[in-house]
Amino acid sequence: MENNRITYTTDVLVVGGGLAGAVLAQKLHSLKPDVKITILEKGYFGYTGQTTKAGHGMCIMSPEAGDEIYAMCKEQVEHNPYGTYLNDQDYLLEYQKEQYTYIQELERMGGKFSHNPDGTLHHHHEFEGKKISAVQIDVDFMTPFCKNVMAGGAQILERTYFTDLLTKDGKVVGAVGFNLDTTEFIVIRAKEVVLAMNEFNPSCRDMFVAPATGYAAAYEAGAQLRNVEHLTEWDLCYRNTGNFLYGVHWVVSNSKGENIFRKYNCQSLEELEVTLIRGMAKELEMGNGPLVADFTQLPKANEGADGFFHGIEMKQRLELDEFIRGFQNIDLSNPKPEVSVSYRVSIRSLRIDVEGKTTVPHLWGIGQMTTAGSAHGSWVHGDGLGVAAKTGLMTARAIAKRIDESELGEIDEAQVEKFRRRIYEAAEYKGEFRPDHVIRYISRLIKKPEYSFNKTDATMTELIEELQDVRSKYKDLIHLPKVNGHYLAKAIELRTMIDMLEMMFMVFKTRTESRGCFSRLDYPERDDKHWLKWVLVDNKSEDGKPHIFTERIPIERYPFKPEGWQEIAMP
Amino acid sequence: MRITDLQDDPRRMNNVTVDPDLCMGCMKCIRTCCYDVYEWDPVKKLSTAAYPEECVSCYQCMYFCPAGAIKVEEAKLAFYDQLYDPLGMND
Amino acid sequence: MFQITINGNPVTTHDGATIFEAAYEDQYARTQFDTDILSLHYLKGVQEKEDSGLCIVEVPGKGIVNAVDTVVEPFMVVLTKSEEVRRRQKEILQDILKHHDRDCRNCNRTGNCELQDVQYSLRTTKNPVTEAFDAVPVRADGIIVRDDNKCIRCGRCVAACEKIQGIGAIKMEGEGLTAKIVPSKGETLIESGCVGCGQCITVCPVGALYERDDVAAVLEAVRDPEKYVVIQAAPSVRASISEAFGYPIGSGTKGKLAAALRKIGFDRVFDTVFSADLTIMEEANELVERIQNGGKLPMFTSCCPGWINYCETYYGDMIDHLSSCKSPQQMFGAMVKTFLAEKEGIPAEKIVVVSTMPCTAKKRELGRDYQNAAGVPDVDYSLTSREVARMIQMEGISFPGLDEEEFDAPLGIGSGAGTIFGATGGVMEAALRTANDWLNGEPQNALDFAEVRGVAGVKEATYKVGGLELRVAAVSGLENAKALLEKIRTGEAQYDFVEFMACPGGCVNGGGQPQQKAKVRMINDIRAERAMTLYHLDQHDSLRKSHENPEIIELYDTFLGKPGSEKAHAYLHTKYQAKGE
Repeated sequence: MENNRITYTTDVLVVGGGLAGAVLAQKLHSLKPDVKITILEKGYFGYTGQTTKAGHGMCIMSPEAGDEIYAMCKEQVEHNPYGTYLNDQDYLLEYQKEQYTYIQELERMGGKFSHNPDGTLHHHHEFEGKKISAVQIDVDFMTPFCKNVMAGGAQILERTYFTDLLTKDGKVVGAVGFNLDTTEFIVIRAKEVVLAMNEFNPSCRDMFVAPATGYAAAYEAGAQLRNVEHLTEWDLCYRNTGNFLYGVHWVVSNSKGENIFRKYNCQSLEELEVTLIRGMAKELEMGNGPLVADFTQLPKANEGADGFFHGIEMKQRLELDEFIRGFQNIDLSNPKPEVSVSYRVSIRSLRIDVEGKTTVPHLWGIGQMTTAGSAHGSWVHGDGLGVAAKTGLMTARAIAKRIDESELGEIDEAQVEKFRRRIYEAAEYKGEFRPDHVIRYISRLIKKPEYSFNKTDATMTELIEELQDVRSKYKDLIHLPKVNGHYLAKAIELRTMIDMLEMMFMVFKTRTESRGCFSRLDYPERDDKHWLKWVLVDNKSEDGKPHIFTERIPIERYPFKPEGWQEIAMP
Repeated sequence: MRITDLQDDPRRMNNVTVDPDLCMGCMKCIRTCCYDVYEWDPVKKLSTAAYPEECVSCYQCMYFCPAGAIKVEEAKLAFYDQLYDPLGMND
Repeated sequence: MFQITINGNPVTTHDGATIFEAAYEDQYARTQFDTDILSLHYLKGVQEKEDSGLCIVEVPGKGIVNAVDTVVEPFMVVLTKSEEVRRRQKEILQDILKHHDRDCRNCNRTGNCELQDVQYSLRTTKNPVTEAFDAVPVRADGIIVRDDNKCIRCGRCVAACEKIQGIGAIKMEGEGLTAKIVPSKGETLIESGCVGCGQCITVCPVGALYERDDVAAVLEAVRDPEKYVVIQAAPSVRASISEAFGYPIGSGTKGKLAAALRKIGFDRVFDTVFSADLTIMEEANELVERIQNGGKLPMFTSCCPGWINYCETYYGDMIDHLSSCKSPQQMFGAMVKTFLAEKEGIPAEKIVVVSTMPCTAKKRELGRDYQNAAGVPDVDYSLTSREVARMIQMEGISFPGLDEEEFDAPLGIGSGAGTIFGATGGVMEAALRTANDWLNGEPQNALDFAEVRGVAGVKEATYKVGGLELRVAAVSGLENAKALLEKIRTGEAQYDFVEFMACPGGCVNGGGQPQQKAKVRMINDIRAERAMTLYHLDQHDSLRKSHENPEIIELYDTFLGKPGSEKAHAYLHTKYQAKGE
């Protein structure tokens, strides 16, 4: 098992066989048919990942938007959830240009979108007042790209769990992992490595749950992470079932019938801002619970206020939604269902430039892994697929331009051995609990109000200490009931989860202000004077702790600036 | 951290089962689930829900199963409700 | 063009279309709306009717109608999932399942079964796979195995044999779900005139029909240290075996096929395209000789065993037209057990030659007389594409994860000409490329003889080749072959060279190929898509003429002498026998 080692050699290694990886592989193959592409996927290729579970549509610039691309960018800079004005506005502009053409390109590549009876692409205005519209996709949207990638001859290593990046002289030269079914150790040499592994979301039972392995590996390889503090999210949900309710957070009421949104002077119709969450918590504390969503307060005509899906909903998605509704314990006839919030703190923070290059040579990042790290800030709630597709295309083109000059690097066998041992050492642990017990404990812990919407320097320090305590103990705490791929993966997920969460909360402590979706109780206001900066983190420190530093945003160079920007310290 | 913190409240866990009398061995559940809930026995050609604790209630396995062999029973309580749980309102 | 609605959604269709056709015609409507209409009998181009009772829709004003039998009208309202439609369909499904062995886990069609699809669409029907069932014995009849316990009496196999192949070796006895498919004459399929083409198997929607499974015997040989086991792979296999692993239709995976076979443990992994080139050498030579020396014309190709069986059985008086060349599969075996055995010092008796073919009739070809160049059968086992796909799965090999590998020398290089053998007209085109060069005395630029390409049943052309005017035809599907043979017999049609393939579209649509469902075949022409892969491989090959193949040149230089030599005749040519009815 572990002593069996399989080595592969390839030109471009794509880690993650979801939409981003599939689109990149297909595009790269069409530009460079002789380049060997290997895809690592921990599940089975063709129907895995978030696209099939949560994808409904993708954003597109309406042709009518014309040259409103700047207006579009302005909108994103001023309102984006990743921290207002923290955009890399160069990247944003390139990303928005892609928004004009990528749907059509995907369609040529085999993607299926909703169409009007006359054959034109059907898109509808999803967001009131916004200059983008959305096209609908179906549950199996990803499948044509995956099929084309297979037909193109790519090597697809299914049931292969990526664990670490191989480096030599500061450059990435390959990766290691293991087969989830056979537990065989796998080593891959590659000229270029693309990470397409989705975000790190430590919320268990969340449909978007995803391990930290990718970030931990990139971090260990020396990659910079950016905007780590900019992804906390709340969704309104039915209490207990956790099923999301979109577009009705502004009619949440307490038992007295008071509208909470108005009572606490909330502003945003799109996102659940922290003021609303604190308000809801306060109401419950005061005994005004339970909280309900009062549908009777919604306008009669559904003009943009009742959520996303106005367009032509595709067949399987419609059927699936109806199927699922049949099993959920939701009484649709109840006009005032009890609600709560579903909270997630995750990171999408791999820093990339416009081409998708990370700060480590030969390491690239695409998709949800980079949505915050690229700092484009143009993510619309629900456009994860758009990010995946756009970045997949942009980076495929960039790799095609330089792959001919790329060379294979040498593997450091000592490093391979170190990683190999770290994968299989969990088999020796003799603790009482399973790794997933500890994972669930941590997942519950970080959702506590004092570490979430009421976090302060003191509470975050406390959490970091707790995480460090768990790390010092977990090898004695857990065992693997079976030494199989599933539990080996869980042990790795636990280790990387602790490391990345510790890093995250150290970053949270650093930014002493609140901005966008990042909020803290001890610094509730936005501070442009001191904080028009990116907080960056990498592992290049002397004491082994995360190296956290800042980079000034070149706001004077950018088209969109906050008020009073002239007072901000210039370089 | 207290050891009791590591124990799961069964009300907050999903339960997933595959009826072996109905399973047709088509592997659709296994290909669909990206949370590794299912385990495939290549000899018996049978799928089992070996890790129901990983289930996120996306229901796609149930949707695609041609035999109707899969049952996903959702947890009675949210995994962690940061509004009601701190106030003990779910005990 | 006008619109109807299906389940409330607009669908564009045309005058004269049936409701069933309309549901597939509008590509946008079919993608984004649920226009699915259940069916089990209908198969485009084979049996365009549906008697199961499943293929029903509700049309307000008309009631419940058969979608295949009803023509659309402008603004027609069609409901495919109304309560009454579903109620009836579920009843019918229950009835079918009562007569069906539901041991899906041990059926080789699980996951690719049209009955499973119907059950899935009707969703709430639960039927334990482990419920007791009064099974009847499975009927192994030569190379074709029929499992009556799985048969749903759709009649597609009967239709394929009668209508497409013009043979009618099987018939349905009785009616409804207790009917039985039996040989139409005599007790066995061979007595009934079956030629082993396997088209019946490829049209079966469930697991009722399959080829004799030789995988266990082959694996035993592979594991036997005393045996030297080699395998050769036909061109069509590389264009379609990937379909068994979820690849799009016609995905070419030559490199992964070689890698998979090597991983299974064959001692050598060779390319049948090599011997396709060899066949061209001998056959082009034979054609030229017949023309120049007043031999029997038109000459008929002889690489298709289904066709040979047909000719011997039904047109025994015309077997002199057949080329005396063995098929590529057989020539290959002959060369392995003589040339390779000699070259590498391995006794012929230790060698086991296996082939993987898109074909079921190749299993019958193995036992033919005059096919044992080294005194032992040229080829020992022939496995269909489906069997090899199963073998790869059984060995736990992940097909998409394979690296690209090459076939082994010295029987591993094949030209583009040999590659297109799998498409109807391919053998003809390959032969023309070689004959053209030979008769002109020097290499010619003409490489693409496009008139003999395509999926039409019969293709004719006249080519100026050297000083000769060659009148050629390429025919596929035995019903088409029959019509052409009659014309040749009466003199109505005059040719010099005719290519015959039993399977419509050629070997890419062979009886041993991965099965594609009716709803896929409504939209995709699998013959054309798979053939396109072969033509694509040919286009991108630097070696496109059989006689320029360096391994072939080496073979003649060091072993055979020249085409038509005594040695070539002894090893590479064969004889036929009229079987009569």
